[in-house]
Amino acid sequence: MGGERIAKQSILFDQHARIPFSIIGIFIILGSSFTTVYISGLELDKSLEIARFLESKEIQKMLFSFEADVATALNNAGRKALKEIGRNPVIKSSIGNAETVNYNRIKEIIKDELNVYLISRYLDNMFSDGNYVINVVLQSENPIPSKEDIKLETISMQLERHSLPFVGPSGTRDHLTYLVASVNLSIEICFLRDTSWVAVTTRDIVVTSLLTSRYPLLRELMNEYHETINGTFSPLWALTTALSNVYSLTRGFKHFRCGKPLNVMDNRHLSLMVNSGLLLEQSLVFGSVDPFGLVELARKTKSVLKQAPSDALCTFNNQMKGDGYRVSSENLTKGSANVDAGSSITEPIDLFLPLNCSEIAERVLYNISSVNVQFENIDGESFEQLIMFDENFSKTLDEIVQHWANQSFFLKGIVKNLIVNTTTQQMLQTIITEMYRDSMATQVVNRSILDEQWGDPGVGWMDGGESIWCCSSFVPVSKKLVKPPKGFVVPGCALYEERYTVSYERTHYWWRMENHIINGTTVQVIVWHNMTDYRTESVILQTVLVQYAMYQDSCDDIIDILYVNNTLADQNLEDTLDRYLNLYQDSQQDKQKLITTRDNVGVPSLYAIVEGSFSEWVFEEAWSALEDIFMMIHTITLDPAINTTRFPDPLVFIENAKENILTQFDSHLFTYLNYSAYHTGSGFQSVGKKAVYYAREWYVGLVKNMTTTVFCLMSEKINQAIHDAIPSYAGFTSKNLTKTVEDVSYAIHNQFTIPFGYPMSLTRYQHGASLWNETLRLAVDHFPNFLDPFEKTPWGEEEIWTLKIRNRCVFGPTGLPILPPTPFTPWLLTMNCWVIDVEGEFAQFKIIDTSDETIFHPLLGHEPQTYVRELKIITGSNSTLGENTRLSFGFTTVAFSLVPPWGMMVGDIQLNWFDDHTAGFDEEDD
Amino acid sequence: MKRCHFFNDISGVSLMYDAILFIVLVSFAGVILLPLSQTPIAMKGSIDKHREQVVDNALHTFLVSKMDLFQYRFCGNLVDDVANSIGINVSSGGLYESFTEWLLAHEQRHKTYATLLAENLGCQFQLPFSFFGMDRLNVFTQDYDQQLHDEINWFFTGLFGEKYRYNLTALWHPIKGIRFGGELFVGMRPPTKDCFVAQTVIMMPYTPAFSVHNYSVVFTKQWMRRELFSKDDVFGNSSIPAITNMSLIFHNYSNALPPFHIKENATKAFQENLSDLMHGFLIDGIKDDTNVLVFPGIVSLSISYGFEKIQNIATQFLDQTLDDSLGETSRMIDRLFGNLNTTIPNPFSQTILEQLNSTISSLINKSVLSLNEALEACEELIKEHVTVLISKDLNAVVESLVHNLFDIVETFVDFYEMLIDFLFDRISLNKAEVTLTIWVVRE
Repeated sequence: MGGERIAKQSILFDQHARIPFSIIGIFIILGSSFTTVYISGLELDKSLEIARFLESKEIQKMLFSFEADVATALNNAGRKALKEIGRNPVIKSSIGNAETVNYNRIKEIIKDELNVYLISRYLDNMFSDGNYVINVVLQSENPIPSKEDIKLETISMQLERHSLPFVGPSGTRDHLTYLVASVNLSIEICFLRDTSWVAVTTRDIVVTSLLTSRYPLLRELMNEYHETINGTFSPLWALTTALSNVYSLTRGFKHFRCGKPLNVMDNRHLSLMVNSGLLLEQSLVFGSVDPFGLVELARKTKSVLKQAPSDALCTFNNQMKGDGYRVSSENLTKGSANVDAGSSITEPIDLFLPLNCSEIAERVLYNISSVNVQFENIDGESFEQLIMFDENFSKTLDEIVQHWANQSFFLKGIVKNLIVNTTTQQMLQTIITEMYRDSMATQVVNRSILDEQWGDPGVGWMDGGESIWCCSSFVPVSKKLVKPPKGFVVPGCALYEERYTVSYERTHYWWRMENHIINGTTVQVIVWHNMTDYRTESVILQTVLVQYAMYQDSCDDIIDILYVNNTLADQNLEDTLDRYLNLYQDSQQDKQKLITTRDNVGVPSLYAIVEGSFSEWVFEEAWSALEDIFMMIHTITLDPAINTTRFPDPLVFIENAKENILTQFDSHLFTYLNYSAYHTGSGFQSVGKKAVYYAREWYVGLVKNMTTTVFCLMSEKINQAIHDAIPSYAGFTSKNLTKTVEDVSYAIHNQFTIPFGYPMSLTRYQHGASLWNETLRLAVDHFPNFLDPFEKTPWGEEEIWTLKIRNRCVFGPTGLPILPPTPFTPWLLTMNCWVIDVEGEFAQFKIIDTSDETIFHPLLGHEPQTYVRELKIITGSNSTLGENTRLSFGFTTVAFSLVPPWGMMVGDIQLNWFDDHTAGFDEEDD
Repeated sequence: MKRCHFFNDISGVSLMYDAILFIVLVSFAGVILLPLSQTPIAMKGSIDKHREQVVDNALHTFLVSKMDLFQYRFCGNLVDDVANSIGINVSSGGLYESFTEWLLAHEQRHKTYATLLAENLGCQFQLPFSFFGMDRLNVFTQDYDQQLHDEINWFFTGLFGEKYRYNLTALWHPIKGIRFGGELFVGMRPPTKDCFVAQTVIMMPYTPAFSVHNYSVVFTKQWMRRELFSKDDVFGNSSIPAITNMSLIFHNYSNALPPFHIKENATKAFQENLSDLMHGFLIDGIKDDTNVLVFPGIVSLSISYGFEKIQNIATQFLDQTLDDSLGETSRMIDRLFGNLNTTIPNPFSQTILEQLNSTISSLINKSVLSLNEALEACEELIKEHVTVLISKDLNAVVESLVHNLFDIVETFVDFYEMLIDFLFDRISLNKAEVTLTIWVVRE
């Protein structure tokens, strides 16, 4: 027992300090187990945490997927809607604004499509990842109960494209480009618990998607195209106006020069212009044209020019290389004129309008009495008819030209018959007469007393005063010519001297005081005694030259005045002294008064203008001088740089022509006046020469003034003529017209290019910063390819006139002479105006977005968004929503032509010149 | 022998035992701690989670990303052949080239990859068989596949860099498991392990709709419930003979009415009817008891998505018909080149159709007179192949389903729901499956 106690105590009281390794090992096992359990617990906690995190992401991921999927579905539905609306847009609607109707249709289609998708995809727990499910909540059996749950917003982008000033739309413009659709949806999220789904939450979400179709842009561009081709001041109007004016000008000249074409304004060519314009506007608005429209245009142009139309593919390949098809306006103008006149198509046509002032200068010298109008038929038979040139000349000429045209005799030319302008002759006479005058006067140069005797009253008489001297008689003593020698006669010089003895008498009063007895009284009385005094005086008179050859501001500038110029056979006023002296003979009271009046020494009197005689040569030379000047003026020609091509606005042209002609006129002024031929430097050679010179000066001045006046009047008349030609319904003024012609003619020059198609740039800006950009390349497809005013276009079950053209020649077959003819007014231009009415429509006009072919097509992959304008009733839900309408256009413009005076004049020589229209207007009238 | 106490043993033997026991205990402790050193669960879980997130995010990003511009060429090089065949000189350069570029280059803007992918799958019409290397009905959109493939490759290569390899697989198989519809594979073939996979479905640009007897049907479960069944009892009722028969079999089996009171009879009969229904549903179409077609079948429905429009246009060669079927662009080329040269025998669109006709004819190796006939023959051929393909495993699936059904027949609440789910589980008309697989190639 003692040993056991020792043994039991030994482990406690073992002093060997020894712990068995196994004890340590057990602790190690316990520690490692504890560590493992603890760390494993931590790992487990972490794993659970990750799992919970993944669980929460799972819902989020599903929601992301749901939203992305519905956004895609929204885009698909939207594109489908836009495809439908693009093909069948409502343009007119009786149930509200057409665009609102279209937007509602878009929403309706999106709603229907999206409902189908959502029902087939997000109902019955179909969208599930095994743990969660998302279902759409139905309201009235649909996820989207109403189109009002769909909202459409627009995104604008800035479109940049090539443009032409005046004839194209704005090169840069903001357009609505995309739609953004948003839809409100209610969804339910369920969680799988055991075998059933338990709703976790219901949520309202808004899904938004960009509709990747540029329908809004196509619609806006179509509207813009409509604006560019329809109505007054539209770019097509401007282009047609400019083209038709260039056309009428060119053909008018051809008509003037060779009598053909008879019909200056031809609807066939107008249709080419309108079609060219339509294509050009297409290219500028859409950056593209209907290629076949170009081919047809090329072929029709060839056809009208009587050229064999080549195969279309050949035409396409040959004429449309490079960046597009070049429309040569020369083909329409010069080409058509030559072809219609039977000339070579390339024959040049002189478009120079030889405005000058010779007609003005001629009219001063000669008046028109009558004209011989020459007619000729195609067989060469000709005859002339005389027409009096009076106020009814234009009307008479129109009637005669039309009358003979109906019998196939066409105006060949007009020859004027002239008579001398007697007014001018009188004017020359007046100038000469006025020139052959001088003025003279007479003055007392000396007065002296020869004798004076007083009557003697006797002694004792007092001087009581006297009366004034009164002339009792005068006696000429001597008269003599005192004219200075030749060359010394100047104003103020004495020409003639007369001496007179003049007798005067007066009463002299004398008095004295005498005593007289009156009644016995002696009274002193004053007694008067009058006596007569006598005086004799010597008076010298001189006749002096005051002025001579006075004309306007000139006078006293003749050499050897008052001496006959034998060389020139000019009296030079030499005879005027005698006429003066004859005028004031001694018996003449004024002269007597001058002689007898005392105290008038040095005071000129007896002024008189005395006409001298002149030789016939003076008038003849003056007239001849005017004719010479006229011939010189006739040589003034307008600078070729001043032409209607450079200045298509007739008013600007005339203003420039006036400046040019007057400048030339002024530069020749010295030649016209030829001053040195008449003036030696110290004076005119003779009075007659001065008269001739001043006749020249008068004529030159008159022609210049008349030129200025006439050109101003011409501008007024042309302006008035255009104004009168523009119908009240046209909506523009003559100023608008001429300004447009001026602006646009420069822009199109001789040709313009219609490109096939080029990409336009679209940029999205926000707050001035560019967010993104993309390109836009459209295709255009319209029917018919060429709007033909001469043939109906079959379309479906109907036949339509796609183009109607009317031209009315306002001033008849011969036009309007300017200024309106009188025997006295110059005729510098002939003008005519045509009022052109255009109406047209496309049976179908389609634009196709080829650079965003967004609509899925199972066979082709994709097809583009289109926008179509055609006549169609648009229905929806068995009711009429409105109608799509054809793209139509219409406008009125005026073209004018200016040609030189006389000759063939300008106008449509055909029966219906007053209303030449295509058949479409007849049906409209019916 | 005296038994000595371990603690009292001073002979050293106990010490040895002690040491040995200690060593054993230490070894046990090492074994206990070993899992901790070898399984860093949190670290691995975190890395895996990260990679799963990477693949999820990558797929989501890919599907919702938009391309500013995507383009491909309609017909690819085929168009030159078509143009040549109608007399257009394709070597003339400028004009032809610019027009084909203008009109045949299909450009897409702002579309998501999901949309581009779905639309690509939707216009392939791949066939479940291959003939002379042609395995698709639509020969005009091959360039679309290639361009999209390149774009997707560019996208993921840029996204993953050198660290990951990827494989994107997009499948649209209206009948699941049958290679008929559309497919796109981008990237390398994935390894069999250590891959991270993200999967989702994208919507196809087709509405599951068809026309029967001049009215439109949206093909949904609701429509199936409403039109094919009427819920009179547990087993429902229908005007469809196969469904009526199945209801009757169940009813008789449940009530022990001959001849289906015997399970073998019942299952066999049920299996036959279900197979008929499945074939009708997938391939031949479903007819009611008056032999009127109420559902055209998935194969027919799928083909009609793309080709219904162009059927019969050979005999109704109208502008509007062609516009609808061949699109504005083709028709524009048609009108343009057709009008330009009157010597060209056939317009462009007609030649396209002929090309299609020729392709289909070569696929079915028959001489057909018209495109319409070719399409019908093609549809028949597809049906044949699909029938062969699905019959391999469909019978097994049906057999298994039927046996399971009869095992739980007593607890049925919604037989028709099960049936509808079963049918719908086998199709994917308007959904395509997109799978992105990534694996690490450089840590």
